Amino acid sequence: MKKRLISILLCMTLFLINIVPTSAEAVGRIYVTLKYEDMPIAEASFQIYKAADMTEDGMSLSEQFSNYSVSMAQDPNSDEWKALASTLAAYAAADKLEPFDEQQTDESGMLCFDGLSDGIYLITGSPVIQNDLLILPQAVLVTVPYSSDSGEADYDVVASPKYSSRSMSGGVLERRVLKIWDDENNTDSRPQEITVQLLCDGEVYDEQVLNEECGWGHTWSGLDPAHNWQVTEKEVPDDYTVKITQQGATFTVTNTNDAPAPPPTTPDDPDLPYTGMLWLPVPILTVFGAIALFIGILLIIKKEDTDE
Amino acid sequence: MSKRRKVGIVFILIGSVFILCAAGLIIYNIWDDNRAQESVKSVLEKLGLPEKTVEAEDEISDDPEATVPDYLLDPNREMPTITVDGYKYIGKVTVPSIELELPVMDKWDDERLKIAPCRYSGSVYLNNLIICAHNYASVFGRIKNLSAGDIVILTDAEGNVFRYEVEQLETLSPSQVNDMKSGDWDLTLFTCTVGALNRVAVRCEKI
Repeated sequence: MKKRLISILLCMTLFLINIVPTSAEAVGRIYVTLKYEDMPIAEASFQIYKAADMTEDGMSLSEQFSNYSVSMAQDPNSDEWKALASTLAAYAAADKLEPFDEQQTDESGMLCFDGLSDGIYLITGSPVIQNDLLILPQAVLVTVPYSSDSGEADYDVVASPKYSSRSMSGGVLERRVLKIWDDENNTDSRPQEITVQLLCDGEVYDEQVLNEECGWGHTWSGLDPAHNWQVTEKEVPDDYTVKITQQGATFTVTNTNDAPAPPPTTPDDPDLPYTGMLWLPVPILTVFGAIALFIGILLIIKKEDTDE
Repeated sequence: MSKRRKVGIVFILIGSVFILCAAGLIIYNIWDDNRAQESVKSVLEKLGLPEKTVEAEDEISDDPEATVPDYLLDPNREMPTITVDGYKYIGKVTVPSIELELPVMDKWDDERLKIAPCRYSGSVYLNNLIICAHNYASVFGRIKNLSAGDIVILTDAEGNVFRYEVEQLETLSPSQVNDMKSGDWDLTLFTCTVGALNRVAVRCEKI
């Protein structure tokens, strides 16, 4: 406790004197605050991982995450950026990756990660129990240094992760997983099936095989609301990347393959399908038949008249 | 027998053959129509769509515990199907104003069109579904009588109900494939005109 207080005081002091660094030394700090409806949440644990390094082309995953074929993102304000955070967080939990640091919030609901070199950091929060409520902070990706609107590099970055909350005494939960293929409908490059894992507080709770037969989806029912439920794809298919997001009670696992799809082998329909019945010949046959009959009868009658 | 009388008899014979052919076609068409009626009725009974249907949603709810329909999360997904007698069906189309309720197959060819209406192209989830069917009286024969404002309902294989309103009717020639597929219509139903020389397309918008 003493150490933590000293650490936070040190962070605050450094923040106040506003030391402006000039190089990519490990001098960045990320301040994390957690408030539930404006009430500070104390003793909430947060973990920080070095997720990626910034490069001229954007970013490259750090050594710790380099084995994960995740869909990358460029714009910190985009949905892809949020999806990257939740995807990396799920894998960090599933594979029990060692965080760079772990801290707890103080009475004001704040903590500080310091000694951070330039890069992109993943911050995850452990579930927090407040009376009957389970508060689940959402994972965020934070860039150090942060580029302010004026273009200046700011090494003191503030992050306020969003959260979801639910009553632990409420009814059991339902969670669905849906596989989405983002590959220009290039079905030839897809595997016949993939395996997804349902994690309960970071531990594998269940595995399911998804394929065309089940519509690439599965629903888990009767889940305990007092736990944190996440989903990962066990093995990402070759040549694909993965993005995992949650909307409502459904986790979407999107596999993306940017390779161009082969051109369609079937040519366009030359004509619209024939959807008629054989009514058109009826009046034609009737008219011609009647004319022929009329002429035939006329010829015979005229002959009989001549004979008489 | 004089030559003139012989020619007269030949004309009468030819005329009779024509009239008999016309009568035969009428009988065949009536039989084919009844067969088609029985066919769609039988498929509809076997289809076994979910009894509990759900009105389709347009937007993803903000509620973190909401059940979000798969078609909103992935509109490009293949429409789910139900197999009946070896053929896959994507659901049924209902037109209350002309008391029509018909199963819809997932793809078309001449053989399938004899059994039931078929998906010509598109998807209900992408708002570009086009359904074609023969103009049997019991199938799409009466869609030419629809007018703007009439309701068309598409129920997918999972029981999701999508409602549409007729906007307009168009007559297209058989070669106007691109015109049939273009136009940004949420749903199109088409069949042959009575003489089968053209196609009548009923264009609908989602409501």
